[in-house]
Amino acid sequence: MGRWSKAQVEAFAPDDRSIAAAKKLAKPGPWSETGSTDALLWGKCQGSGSKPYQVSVDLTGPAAKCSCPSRKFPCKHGIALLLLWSDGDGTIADSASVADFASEWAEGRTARATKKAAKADAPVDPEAQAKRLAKRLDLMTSALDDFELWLSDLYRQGAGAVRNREYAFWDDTASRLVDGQVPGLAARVRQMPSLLVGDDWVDAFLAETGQWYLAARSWARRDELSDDDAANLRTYLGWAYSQDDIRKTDPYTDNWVVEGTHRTEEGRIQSQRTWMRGQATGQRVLMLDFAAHGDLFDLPQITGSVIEATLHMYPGSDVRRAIFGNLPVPTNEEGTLVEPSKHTELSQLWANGVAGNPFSERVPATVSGSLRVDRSSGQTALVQDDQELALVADLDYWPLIAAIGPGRATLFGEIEPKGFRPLSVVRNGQVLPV
Amino acid sequence: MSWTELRNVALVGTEKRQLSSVITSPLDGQPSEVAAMQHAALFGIQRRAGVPITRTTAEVEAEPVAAPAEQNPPERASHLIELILSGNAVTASLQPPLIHHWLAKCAAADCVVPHRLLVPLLDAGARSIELRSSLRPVLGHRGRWLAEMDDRWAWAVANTDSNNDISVDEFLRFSADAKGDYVRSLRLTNPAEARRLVEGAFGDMNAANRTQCVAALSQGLNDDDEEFLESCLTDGSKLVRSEVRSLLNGLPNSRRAQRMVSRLAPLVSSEGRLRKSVTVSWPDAPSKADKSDMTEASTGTEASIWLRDIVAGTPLSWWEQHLDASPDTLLGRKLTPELELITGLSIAAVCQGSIEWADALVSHGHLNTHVIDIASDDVLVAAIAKLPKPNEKSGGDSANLLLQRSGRWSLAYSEAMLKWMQKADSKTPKYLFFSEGLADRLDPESVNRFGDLTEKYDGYEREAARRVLQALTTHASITEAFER
Repeated sequence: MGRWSKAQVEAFAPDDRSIAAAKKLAKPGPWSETGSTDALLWGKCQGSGSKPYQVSVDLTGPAAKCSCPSRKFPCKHGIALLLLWSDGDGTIADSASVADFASEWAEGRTARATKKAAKADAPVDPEAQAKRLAKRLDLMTSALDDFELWLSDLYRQGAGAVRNREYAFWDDTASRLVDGQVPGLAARVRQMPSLLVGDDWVDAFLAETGQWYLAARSWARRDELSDDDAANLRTYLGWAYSQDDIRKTDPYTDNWVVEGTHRTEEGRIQSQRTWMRGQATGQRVLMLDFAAHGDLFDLPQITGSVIEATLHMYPGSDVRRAIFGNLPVPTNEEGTLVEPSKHTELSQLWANGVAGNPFSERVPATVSGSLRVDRSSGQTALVQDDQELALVADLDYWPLIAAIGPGRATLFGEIEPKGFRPLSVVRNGQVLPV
Repeated sequence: MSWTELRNVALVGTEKRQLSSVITSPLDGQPSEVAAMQHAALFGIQRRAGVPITRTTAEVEAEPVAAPAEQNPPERASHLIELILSGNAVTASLQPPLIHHWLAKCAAADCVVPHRLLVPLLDAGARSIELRSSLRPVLGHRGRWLAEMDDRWAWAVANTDSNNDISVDEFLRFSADAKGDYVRSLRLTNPAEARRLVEGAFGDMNAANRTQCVAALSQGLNDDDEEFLESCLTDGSKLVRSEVRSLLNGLPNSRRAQRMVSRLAPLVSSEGRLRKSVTVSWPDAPSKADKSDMTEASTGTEASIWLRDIVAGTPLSWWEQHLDASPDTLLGRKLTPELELITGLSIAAVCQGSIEWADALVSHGHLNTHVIDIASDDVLVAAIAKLPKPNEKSGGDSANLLLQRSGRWSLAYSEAMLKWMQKADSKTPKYLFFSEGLADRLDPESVNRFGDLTEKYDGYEREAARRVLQALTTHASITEAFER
C-alpha cells in the first residue's frame, strides 16, 4: 500500500483541532521505535507521562489505537504518526518485523473480525430463534399486562394523587418495563414528572396515559394489526430491529438530499435526527444516529448536500427510518427543498401523519413565511398571508432570526403538536442549517 | 361525554367520581377506570390529530426582501471563528485578539460574517468595545438588520455617516460605552461633527461619560479641537482635566503649548563648547492660573511635576530651533535635571507622535514605557540586545517594559524579545517575564522560537505557554484560511 497523502490523513482526523495538535507532534523528536508495513504503522510517542504512548494504525481499516487517555478516535498521536509516515522522508522506515504492541493489537482485531464474520455466517437455528422470540413475546406480554393493571390503579387514584409522587414512583414502573423488554415505553414513563407541570398538566396526563393504554391494548391485539401498524407499535415500545435484518431488506439507491438535522444531548448520549429525500423517488426517510458525548456522529451534519447511497428501510408507515447499506458518497450537487406547503395545508398534513401512525411525534414539512418575533414573550411564528405557524418554544430565537432574515423565507423542519421546529433555511438557493 | 368531564374524573380518580357514560350505560361490567382509559386513548388521538397547526392572524406578512450579493468567508475560516467563539480553540482571555484578527482578515477579503455567526459575534462586540470597530464593516446587510432589533447591539448600527447626524438627545440616550465608541467612529469620517456632539452633550453627562468622550477625541485630534479642549481645562472632574491635558500635549500650535514655551524659554541654558550641556532651571511655584496646566499628581515634588509638565507640553520643534540641534545631538548632551527632562520629552514624543524623538531617546539609553510604543523596530531591537540578562532582580521590570509595546509586534521585535528571554538563567523565575499577553503581541512567525523557549518551562508557566502557542498557531491558521 502506498503512503497516504496529507489530505487523506487529514480526512481521517476527527476534527481540525486534532489536526492542529497532531502537526505539532509530527516531528521526529518525540517518536521512537517507529516502523511500518503494508498494513500497519506503529511508533512510541513521548508525552507528558513517564511512559511513551504506544500508537498503532491499521492502514487497511483504517483504524488506530493509542495508549493515551484521549477519547478521540483517532487521537492526535495517531494522526501525528500518519503525518510523519506520509512525509516519506525516511523518519518512519518500512520494516519487516512488527513491534510487539502493534502486532498484539492487530491480531486482536483480526480475531474479533473473524469471530464476528463466523457468527454472521453461522447457519440460523430456526428452532432456537423461534424459542427466543416466543420467550421475548411472553416477557413483553407479561410486562404490558402488569403495566395495564398499574395504569388502571393510577386512574382509580386520580392524577391529583400521583402528581406529586417522587421520581422513584415512575422509575420503579419504568424499571419493570425495561426488565420486560419494553424500553421505549419505559423511557416515556420515566419522563412523566416533566409533563405534570403547567396549567394544562391534567390534559398532558390524559394524552400521555391514553397513548400508553393504546399501546398496551394494541399489543394484546397485535395479531389483528396491519404490518405497518405493528411496526409503528414495535418502535413505540422500543423493540429494536437488528440492523443486519434491516440490511437484508430491499435496497433503495438514490441521490439523497439532506434536508435538515436536529441534534439533542441527554446525559452522556447525543442523538441526531437527519431527514433526507430521494431525488429520483421523492421518498423521504429519517436517519437516527447516536454517539457518546464528545464523539462524532457517523453521519456528519451536512445539511443541503446531496449524497449518493443505498438505504434499507425499517418497517412502518409514513416517513420510514432508514440505515445506510453502503458508505454514502457525497456528490458535488447542491440540494434543494421541495415546493413549500401552504400554511392552510399544514393542519391536514399533521392530521394525516397522526392518522397514519397514532404514535408519531413529528411530521417533516417544507414551509414558507416571514418571521414574527414577540420579544416580550419570546414567541416566534412564521406568517404567511393571514395565517401564522407558531415555532416551538425551546428555540433560541436570535440565531433563528439571523438565519431567516427579513421577508419571506423557505424552511424545512418538523411539525410537532406544539409548533414548527425549523431545521434548515434556503438562502440564495442554498439549503443551510438553522 | 366530553374531554372536560374526562379531565374532572381523571383528576380525582374513578374511585371518587364515575364517568356519566358508565353510569348511564355500564359497559358489560367494565370497571370505570377502563372506560376512562379508553376515552383518554381515543380523545387523546383525536385531540392530537386535530390540533390546529396554524391560526389566523391580523399580522401582515413582511414584504419580500431581495438579498444583496455578499461574499461569505472560506468555510475553513468560518470554522476557525466558530472554534474560537465556542472556547474550543483558546481560553476566553485570548479570544478577543484572535476575533479581531479574524474580522480584519474578513474585511480585507471583502467578505461578511456568515449568518450563523452573527449572534455570537454581535454578543462578543457587546462585551468588548475594542472589537466593535472591526466588526461593523463585516456585519453585512443581515447583520445590520439584526443589530437594529436589540439595544445590546445598537452600537453596531449607530450611524456615523455625516449625512445622518444624530441629535444630542439621541446621543445622550446611548450607554456610556456606546457614547465613546460612537465618537471614536464618527471621528474617522467627520471629526468636527463628533466634537460638536461631545460639546453639546458635555453639560448633561457625568464625569465618567465626559472622560470617555474626551478620550475618544484622541482619534483624529486636530487644531480645531483646541478651543473645546482649552475650555475643559477647568472642568470639575480631575479625570477629565487629566485627559484634556494629555490631548493638548499633542497640539503644538495650541495656546497651552505657547504658554508652556513662554514658561520654559527663560529657564533653558546651553553651556560648554566641547562637552555641551543643557540645563533647565527649576520653575517658580505654579500660580493659581498655572495650575490648570499642571498634572494633579499625589506623588513627587511640585517643582518636579511642574517642570516635567512644562517640558511635556512644549512643542518638540521648539527645542530643535532654540538650541539649533537635532534630537539625536540634543540628547547626546548632558541634561539637567535629567529625570524631569527625559520624562517630559518622552511624553511629548508620544503625544506629538514624533518617531524621530522617540528613536533618539531609545538610542541614548532612555528606553521607557512612553517611547517604547512609537520607537522604530530597528532602534528597539538594538536596545533590547543591550539589556542586561534577565535575572531574579530586574527580569520582571525589563519584561514589563518590553511588553508595553502595543499592537501586534513585528517579527524582528518578537525575535529580539524572545532572544532576550532565552538568556535567563535557571534561577530566574519564569513568571517574572512571562505573560499570556504574548499571544496578543508576538508575531505568529516567531512561534518556533517561542516553542523552543517554553520547553524550559514547567508547571503553571508551561500550561500558560501552551495556551500562547495555541493562540499563535490559531492566528496563523486564520491568516492562511483567508489567503489560501
